[in-house]
Amino acid sequence: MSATVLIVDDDALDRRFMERALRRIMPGIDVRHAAGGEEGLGALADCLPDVVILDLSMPGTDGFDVLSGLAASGIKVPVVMMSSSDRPAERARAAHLGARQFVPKPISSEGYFTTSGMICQRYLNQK
Amino acid sequence: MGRMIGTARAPGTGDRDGAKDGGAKDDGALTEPELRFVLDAVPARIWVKDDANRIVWLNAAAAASMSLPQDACIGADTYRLFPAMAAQYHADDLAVLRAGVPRLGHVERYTPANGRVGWVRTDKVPTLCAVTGEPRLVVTSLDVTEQHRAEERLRVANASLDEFASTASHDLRAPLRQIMLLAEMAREDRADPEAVDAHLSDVRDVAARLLSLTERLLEAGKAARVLPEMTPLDLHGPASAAARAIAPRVEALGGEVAVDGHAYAQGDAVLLRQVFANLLENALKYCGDAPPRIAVGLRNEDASAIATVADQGLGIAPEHRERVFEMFKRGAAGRGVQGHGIGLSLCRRVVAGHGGLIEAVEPTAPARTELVVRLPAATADAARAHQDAPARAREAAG
Repeated sequence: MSATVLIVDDDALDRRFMERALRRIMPGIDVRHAAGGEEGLGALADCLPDVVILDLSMPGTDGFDVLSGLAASGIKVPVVMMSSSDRPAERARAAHLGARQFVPKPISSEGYFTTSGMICQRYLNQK
Repeated sequence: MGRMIGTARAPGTGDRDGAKDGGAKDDGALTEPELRFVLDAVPARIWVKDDANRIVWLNAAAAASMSLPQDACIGADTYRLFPAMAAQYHADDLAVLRAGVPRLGHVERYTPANGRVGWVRTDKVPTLCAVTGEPRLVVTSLDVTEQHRAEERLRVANASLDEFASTASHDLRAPLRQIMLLAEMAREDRADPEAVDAHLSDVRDVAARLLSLTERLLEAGKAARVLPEMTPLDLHGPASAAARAIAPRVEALGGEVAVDGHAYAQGDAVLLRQVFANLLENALKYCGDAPPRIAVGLRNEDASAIATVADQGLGIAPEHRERVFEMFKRGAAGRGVQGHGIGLSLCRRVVAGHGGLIEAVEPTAPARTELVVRLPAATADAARAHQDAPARAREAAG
């Protein structure tokens, strides 16, 4: 059974960057997309992914709201939060709400490759 | 008691040679009428008080600040003149008299006779009466209300600028990062011309979004910098102008936009037109699949002019009604709709600059979004008079 990753991000390009990098590490990986926070919460209940890659800044239900929704629903899944910024206050709040990691969105293909490698190794048992 | 500073005597509190006979003095000192003239001409308020909180002498500016004739104040007990503040003033005075050291540049709030709260910078200098040797306090105060308000506005503007710069750099960074990544991907996929073409097409789209974002930021920056030129006006004018601007696009979708009623406000017609333009553009942008139905209602209530902009579009979730006014934040309806999250934040800045409020409230069916703008009210007569003034001026000019 292949590993499943859910990417929750309103920006289609950023979802594509992440998926491309993940597939370079794990070609058979099952990548699901959600284009917003509410859609992400719905998809989480349906597909029970091994890890969630969650954007912080989204219209309406943002990444923090999704973390709160997850905590309220009792679903246990590791969440890696990604953001274009790297503000200490956001990092702290994400950790407080249960995110396992807070990663600034990479600015190069190499950066995405490194981040994906870390996620696959840490959460998908990729050797 | 500490060291006394000088031995000043207030004009009119003791004998003064030269002033009696009006003769010219040969030591260069001012005569009493000259001294009085000088002290009455300075804009600072000057009081000479005794240790029982009585006014021994004051200058014209000090008397004017209490809306009393100068003579009526001399000898008066300040507990009678400033019942609310006298005890505090007296305690401060005694502290300075006891210390024997001037207290300079103290900025404090005060409420003058007209009831409008202001700020004064006060110097208190202890001295002795030249005639009796009794303790005296020379109090000089200057109204710094405007300066204090300007500093406060500057402090708020600086904090707002810091926040704006931080948020703007964050949101400008995202498309730049994507352009860099797409360029790298085009290079990686150079063996596949179709993939390269798709990446280049994405670069163009992201660059167009970046251009639009920087233009909106410039617009927002300009509007936030402009101080409103407050005049009495009927909000029907700016609301109707904004409605006319979007009407062709609304009608092309089979919808309608209407402005109903009148609201007389103190405001800047140009900036308020920009506010209505943003609110109506938003209503059109988030109309969903149904034809847009946009209604602007205007009315006066108590001391406010109220404008309500309602539409039957996608709506704003109750938990997002405050967030949508933050810079770069958008409601859930923003998904899939081109936008930067600047318009409502700009509206809030402009309305706040008018001393008003804007909020998203629980809509009344069939509306799904209802935004309410409250501005300081003007009278209908004042608004009409102001509107007619240019026409009258043209008539007068022939």
